[in-house]
Amino acid sequence: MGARRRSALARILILVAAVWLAGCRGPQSSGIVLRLASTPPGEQMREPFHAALHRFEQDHPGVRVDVIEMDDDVYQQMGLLTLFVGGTPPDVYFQWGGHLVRKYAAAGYALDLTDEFPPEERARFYPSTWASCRGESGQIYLWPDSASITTVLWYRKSVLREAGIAPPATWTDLLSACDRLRSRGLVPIAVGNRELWAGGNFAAAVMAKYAGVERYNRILSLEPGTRLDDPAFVQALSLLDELRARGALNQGVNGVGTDEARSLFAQGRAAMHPIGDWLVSEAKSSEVADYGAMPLPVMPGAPGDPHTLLALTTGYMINRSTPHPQECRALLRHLMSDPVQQNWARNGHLSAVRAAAPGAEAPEAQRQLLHLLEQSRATAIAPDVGFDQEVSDALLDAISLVLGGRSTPAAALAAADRQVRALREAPRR
Amino acid sequence: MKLSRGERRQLLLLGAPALVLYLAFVIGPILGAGALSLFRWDGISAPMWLGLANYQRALFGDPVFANSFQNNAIYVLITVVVEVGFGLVFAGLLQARLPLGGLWRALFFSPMVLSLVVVGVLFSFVFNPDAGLLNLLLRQAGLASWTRSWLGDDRTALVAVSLVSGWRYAGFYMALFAAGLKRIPAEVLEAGRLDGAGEWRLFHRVTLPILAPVTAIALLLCITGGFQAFDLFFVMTNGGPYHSTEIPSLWMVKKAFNRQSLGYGSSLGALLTLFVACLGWLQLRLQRRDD
Amino acid sequence: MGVRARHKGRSTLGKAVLVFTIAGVALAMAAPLVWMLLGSVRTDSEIITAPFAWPAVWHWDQWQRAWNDGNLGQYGWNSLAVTLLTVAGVVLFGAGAAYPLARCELATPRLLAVYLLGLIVPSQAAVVPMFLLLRTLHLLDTWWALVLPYIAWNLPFAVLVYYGFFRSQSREPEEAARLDGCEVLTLFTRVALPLAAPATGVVAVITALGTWNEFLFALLFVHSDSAKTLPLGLLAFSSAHMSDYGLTFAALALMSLPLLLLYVLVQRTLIEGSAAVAA
Repeated sequence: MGARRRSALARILILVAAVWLAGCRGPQSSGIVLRLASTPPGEQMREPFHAALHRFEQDHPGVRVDVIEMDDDVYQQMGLLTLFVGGTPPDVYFQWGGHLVRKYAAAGYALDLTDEFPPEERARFYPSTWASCRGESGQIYLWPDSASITTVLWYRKSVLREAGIAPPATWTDLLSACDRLRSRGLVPIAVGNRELWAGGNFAAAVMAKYAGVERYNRILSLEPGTRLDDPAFVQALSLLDELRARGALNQGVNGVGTDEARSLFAQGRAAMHPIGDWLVSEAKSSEVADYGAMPLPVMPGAPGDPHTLLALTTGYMINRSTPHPQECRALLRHLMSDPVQQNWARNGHLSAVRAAAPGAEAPEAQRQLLHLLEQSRATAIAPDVGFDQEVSDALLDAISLVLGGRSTPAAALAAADRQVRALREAPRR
Repeated sequence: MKLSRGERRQLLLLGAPALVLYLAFVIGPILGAGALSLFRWDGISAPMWLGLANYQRALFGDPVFANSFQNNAIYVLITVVVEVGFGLVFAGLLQARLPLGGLWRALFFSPMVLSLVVVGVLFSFVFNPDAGLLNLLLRQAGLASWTRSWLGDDRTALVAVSLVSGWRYAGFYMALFAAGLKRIPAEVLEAGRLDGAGEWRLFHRVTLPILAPVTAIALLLCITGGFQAFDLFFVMTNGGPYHSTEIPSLWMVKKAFNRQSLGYGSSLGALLTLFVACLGWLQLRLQRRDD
Repeated sequence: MGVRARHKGRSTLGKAVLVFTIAGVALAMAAPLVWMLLGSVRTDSEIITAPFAWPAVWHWDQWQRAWNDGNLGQYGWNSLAVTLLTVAGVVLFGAGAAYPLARCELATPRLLAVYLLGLIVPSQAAVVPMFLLLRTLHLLDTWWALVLPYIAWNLPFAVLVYYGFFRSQSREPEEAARLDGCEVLTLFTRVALPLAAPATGVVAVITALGTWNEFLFALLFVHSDSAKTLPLGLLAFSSAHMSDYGLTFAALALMSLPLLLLYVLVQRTLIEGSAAVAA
């Protein structure tokens, strides 16, 4: 071999080594490392979350928890999946309830946790929690952590008071309240639908009431015999269309982002704002006192349970092939224990654990949210987390067309149905 | 050059790293995308064989995809007029002995160094309905009725994005035509002028014909490049509002990565590739016929 | 003489009109950039009320904040490393691939056609398998996740440029070196490559520009701060500060000014190179 060839070979070897090293992790430390994958905890919750992890490490010497944090979008799309298939799977991972739980369980990435929840243990959590935690055949795969109400009609107490309006209980009340607010130069209901899910969830909450949770689930799962332009959905969207036509919504709903809509509400220029429970934890404590949370008003002719809520449980799943299942279970048991959850609840966390209910010192809004949770008999999951995302996309498109006044509810939903026709006809396993 | 067997092998080795990388990251993925397109796969469960079902869906069952080609075509049309057209106009001006031609060329080319993300973000601000530059200037000029949400209105969003692309790429085509202009013998133009011919006459009798091959290349680049646009659309509108700025490449990436329909996304990519290749081939054929 | 003079008079006026028109167009096109640069040192209220006013107070702290909050230092470092590695790879491998093709005519037409494919196929169509490949190699979220694909996708252009260049070069220097007993590979490194400096200039500048500003691969293949490049970082920063014009403009200015200044230096190579690409 000539000198030339040797040096070329050397160069190739160096390149390969560099490539390999770049992908290599550091030397394994002794002791057990639990890899926990999660989305960012939010400003208020960051410190309490890490404090709870630290406490666990202290109680279990030799065990360390490594947090892998990724943006929400990245996590939901390819981020988490990549961890599994890329050779560095997590031991424990955050997950949104519903569709994603079923998917990961079916793919073999989840440990069956049913035995962790005998009846006494299950009673520690709200009943609405469990729907989101189960796999295809009913086993529990998600350890519930947070009970999230996806759409609540928030209102500014002072704004309504000054306008002489009581929080509307029925749809007719809502309409006349909106007319009154409009005449005073206020935006009755602020919706920021640029990202499509805010208005989408608002509409989905109404749809769930009209169709009833069971039918809602069947329609969005594209079961045979169902259509997206189901009369119940059309009726629900027509109510929202009416709101838009009467000027009850802000201008250009689809061009306004969620943050912008929220600041309209925070500044008191809008009286009502349909958004999730996280408004409490994201608002300044000085503002929260003026916020009230009410369920969507009773709607004309809605056959569904009046206490139908759009809610979601989030929590953690354990990787079925983790080498340390016992330690993972211990970790989650610790995180979902009463003391930890109670501490978190003081930082805006809406816990799925009953004992961590907001106490008397918590803002009224938080207690109202809890009341909604306790009352609800039927919970539906939002389209973009509970169901196939392509179906959700089509539905959210239709909703945005209606909210923007670009299409009638029937036409928009029919177009959505056309968009998913191929999915319907696709062969299933 | 006469080479021994051993020397020949050494030379081959020289080209080996390039070929390996190229096969691994270009040819392989292209073939892989073709293969993937025949399956349904969400990245975690086992892939499921579908045959051509993805293509059937893409061609007949996906109104958004079908419409995306129309959007892209409109975009290409506008950019051809603005970019190639601008280039030709500039060539004409250079022919008319525009002073400081080099300076203008450098100035107009400068947006080419900016990342499309920078351009996209900047113009998102320019088009902002409340505080953006465009509406601000319109109001100051007394044309407040002309203001609108340029990127938020499905009637104007596509045109807005296309014009931004024009802003960014016009300089490139100017440079292209300026270089092509150097081919024209100065004496021919001078002779024409002495004979009393106007600049316009000179332009379409002398300059344009000589620039024909450059124009053909410019059109090829603009059209095939136009169907591969992505960055600007992602940053400025992400396909909205109501899919009025949805183009095939954007929809394809969304399906593959956001919605974990890796198989379906690959089929969209394959169709896009086929389309671009056909367009390119067609144009080259037309060109050859002219020659 | 009188006729000539009249012609001259008319053409001077015509030229003046031309210059003014084109200056006007240039001004209109430069307006957004000027707005951004001025705005990067002014506060929001100032920008909104008087878009082009000269700043009374120069708020350089906005630049500081954009740099810190936007983590532009780290992203800039990533972009720089990725770009340098890519340019080195493209130049070395591209020239290395083109040289045998040009000199030995080994399966040249077929190989060239293979490289040409890369110019025709839209890279978006191939991102899914590339993602899967990088994932299997555990290279995702590292510099290599970008460098390797960037080199690969820039090779067609580089190979074509170098091929054209080597073909047009006379073989005399190489023949002479061979007569002196030079080995073939040394011929390449000591003789041919240095002589190909003009081609290298064009390839390097255009590859560097394309890589520095590339967005799609970066969006899909890297996610964490340790590997994110400037375009990604900028997008994230601007989304987070949508309503803060001054701050976002500062970030935009930070990203564009170095490039614009560099442009002034390499402008000729860049412009002529781009024209050469197309031809």
